[in-house]
Amino acid sequence: MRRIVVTGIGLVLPLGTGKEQTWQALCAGQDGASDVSTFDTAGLGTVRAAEIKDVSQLRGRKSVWAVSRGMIMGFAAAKLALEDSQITVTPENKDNIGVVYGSTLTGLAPLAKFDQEALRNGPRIADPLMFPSTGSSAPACQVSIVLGVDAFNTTLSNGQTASLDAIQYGMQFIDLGRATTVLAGGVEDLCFERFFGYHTQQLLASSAAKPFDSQRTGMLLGEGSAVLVLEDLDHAKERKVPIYAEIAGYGSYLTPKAEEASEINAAVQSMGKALQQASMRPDQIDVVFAGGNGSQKGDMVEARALTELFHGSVPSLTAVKSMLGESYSAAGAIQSAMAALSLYHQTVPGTIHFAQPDPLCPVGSVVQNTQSKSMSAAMINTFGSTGNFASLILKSYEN
Amino acid sequence: MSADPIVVTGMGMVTPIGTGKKVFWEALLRGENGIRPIRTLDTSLYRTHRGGEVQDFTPDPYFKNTNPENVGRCAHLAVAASRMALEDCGIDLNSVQPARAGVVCGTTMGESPTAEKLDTFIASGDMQAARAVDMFQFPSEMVPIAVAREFNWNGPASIMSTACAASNYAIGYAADLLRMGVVDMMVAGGSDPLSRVVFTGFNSMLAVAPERCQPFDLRRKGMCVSEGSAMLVLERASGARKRGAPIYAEVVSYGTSNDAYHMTAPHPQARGAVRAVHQAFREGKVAAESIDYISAHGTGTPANDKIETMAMKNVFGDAAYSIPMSSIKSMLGHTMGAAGAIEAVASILAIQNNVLPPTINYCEADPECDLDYVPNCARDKKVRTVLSNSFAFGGNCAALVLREYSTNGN
Repeated sequence: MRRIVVTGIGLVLPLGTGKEQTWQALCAGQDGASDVSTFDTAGLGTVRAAEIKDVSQLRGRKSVWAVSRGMIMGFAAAKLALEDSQITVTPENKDNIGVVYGSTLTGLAPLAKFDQEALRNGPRIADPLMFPSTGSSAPACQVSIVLGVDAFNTTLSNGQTASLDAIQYGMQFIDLGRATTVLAGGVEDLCFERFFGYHTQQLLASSAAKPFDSQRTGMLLGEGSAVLVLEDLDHAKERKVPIYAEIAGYGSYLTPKAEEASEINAAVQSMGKALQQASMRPDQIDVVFAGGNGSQKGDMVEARALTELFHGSVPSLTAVKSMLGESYSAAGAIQSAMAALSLYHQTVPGTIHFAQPDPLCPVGSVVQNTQSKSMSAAMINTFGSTGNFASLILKSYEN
Repeated sequence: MSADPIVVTGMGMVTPIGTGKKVFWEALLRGENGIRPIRTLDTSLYRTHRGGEVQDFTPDPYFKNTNPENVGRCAHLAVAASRMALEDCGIDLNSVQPARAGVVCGTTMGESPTAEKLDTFIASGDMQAARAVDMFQFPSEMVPIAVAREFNWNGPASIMSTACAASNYAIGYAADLLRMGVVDMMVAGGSDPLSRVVFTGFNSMLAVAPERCQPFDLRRKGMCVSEGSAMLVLERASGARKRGAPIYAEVVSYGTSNDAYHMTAPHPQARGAVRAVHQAFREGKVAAESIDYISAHGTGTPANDKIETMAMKNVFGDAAYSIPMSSIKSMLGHTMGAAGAIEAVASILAIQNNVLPPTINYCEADPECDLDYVPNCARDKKVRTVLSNSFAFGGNCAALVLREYSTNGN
């Protein structure tokens, strides 16, 4: 296996744009929740979500075709990541830069708008320029088209685990010699149809998202994009660029059974496989960037799996979704970006709204206030409600 | 990477011209046209009214362990094709190690019909009815998860939304995972149900042929929207031989690239397509001269067929004129994310039977499309190695190389 490192980070989040602004806001415990303004919430009362307010400002070069919210966010994050990694796309390097995104729902908003307009006004006046954005691969394609990078271009629509799966895919493609550099990340956006689905299933928090807290009432929906520049270590060294972290291992596991015990086991398996690939013991993990989003069952499954894997002594645990909400296929990449920054700055951002530990979530190590800590390895978890689990381990880069 | 070839040992499919490989192959050789008046969608307000629909399909016989009502039609088709493929490969399902078996599926629109149900209620203002739509069936990951649940597996379950090239990406990635030793068995392919959004979309682009699909013909008028699924069982040859499985063909290599040009139009010099084929040849150490047949993307749109023809001339030079290249989309229409997998099955059947499926509805030669498209009639030919093309929206290109399996090396 080649050694693969993270040399660039691009973030477009409800807390801001770019790694400095978002990292500082995260460490300051800024809540990304606000009243929704991007879609009509008629009939649903006040709708809170972690929303990005001025997406149109992020729009890049104009395209002939309609560019959706997800495409704008996904493109902006890729551009920031490339800049952060000091990469200028040239005719010489463009064939060696690939793109892989996790995205499952970015096609939904354009799909629904296109379909509903055709139903209301008749299909004959449907706007052909809107159609291409109805698939969830559109954000990744927009990146290749506008930036001109073309080693490969893939979108994984694996739901909750999608962007960790995308990072793994990017690593494999570098390892197989299909690219030297990969823009790996995730993107997901908010829209009425997505919100409505969660709302009717009563999965949303009544006020704030309180991961692992005994008073948690559900999740807060979020949106955004995170892109990591993955690079072959030798290639990064040649370029003499700063290295945030090294990717140590990835693991995934699927349980076909929607039972608590099976899900806890699947989570343990997923983390265990990541440790195995990293050739690390559980006690070498210094911080966990949890997938916890405030949902009753999901948080409990993760907490109990962590307790089992770490034999009761779970390392510092932080849940960035307390501020950023649940951004589904983008979540794994966002957590990974934050974990890389955390290792780089030797700082663990706190979990906001955490006040009362839940005896059913016996982790005992939720970090409430941002703190400095000497760390060399971080675990990232993305645990889906449909039985799909994935984990990633990042470690500090040592020559 | 191991020197243990990746082989196909099972194939299952649900298509507008037949379910199961025997019926499907006979229909292909007959040149059956699967494009009919659309029944599941009211097309009265549209410019065109025909498309490809799977006839008389019910998911129940294929869902032996899980409830089909919990998932959408994309998953129904994928589970059906997967079960057929697994039965075809002759494995005792109880002998499969659940953590060593996985699924990779390609799709363009996934469970679009679920969202379309919601759209119908929203557009008519019936929010009460809208609440009854289970939007948790919409996310595409439910498709591979439905397959994994049905067979009780714990391995990787992925879905790629790389538009109409998706199942070539999926088959290639499944082969990667087997080569890397992550798994012992993969079910890989694609699935897409007929989608109103897709039908509206291609009609809005004036890209749908009103009557029939005529790839490479001078008077071709566009593609036909269709649906279906095909899944292939992939394993390492050593494992397949150990259990005495039928080996249909070898998955030699694949290549993917992106045009980095336009969301809907192909690159005028077919940049992504050529790169994808070159990458497949390079990784598989495939000599261009060894290709006996090309399974075309061949959608029937003026742009695709012209650019694909140019791409093959670029790759093969003058030899392109002597390599037969047919498009079974002339019979099936465009099954979107399933197309690459269905075409992989057709390619493997061509290898097994040494017969090439035709491009039907071919009447008049186009000076810009002047290759041998196997017009109208199936043709006997010794086929060892096939190149199967998928060139999609967003500039996503994927080329797959399949070869007759031989124990004496190649």
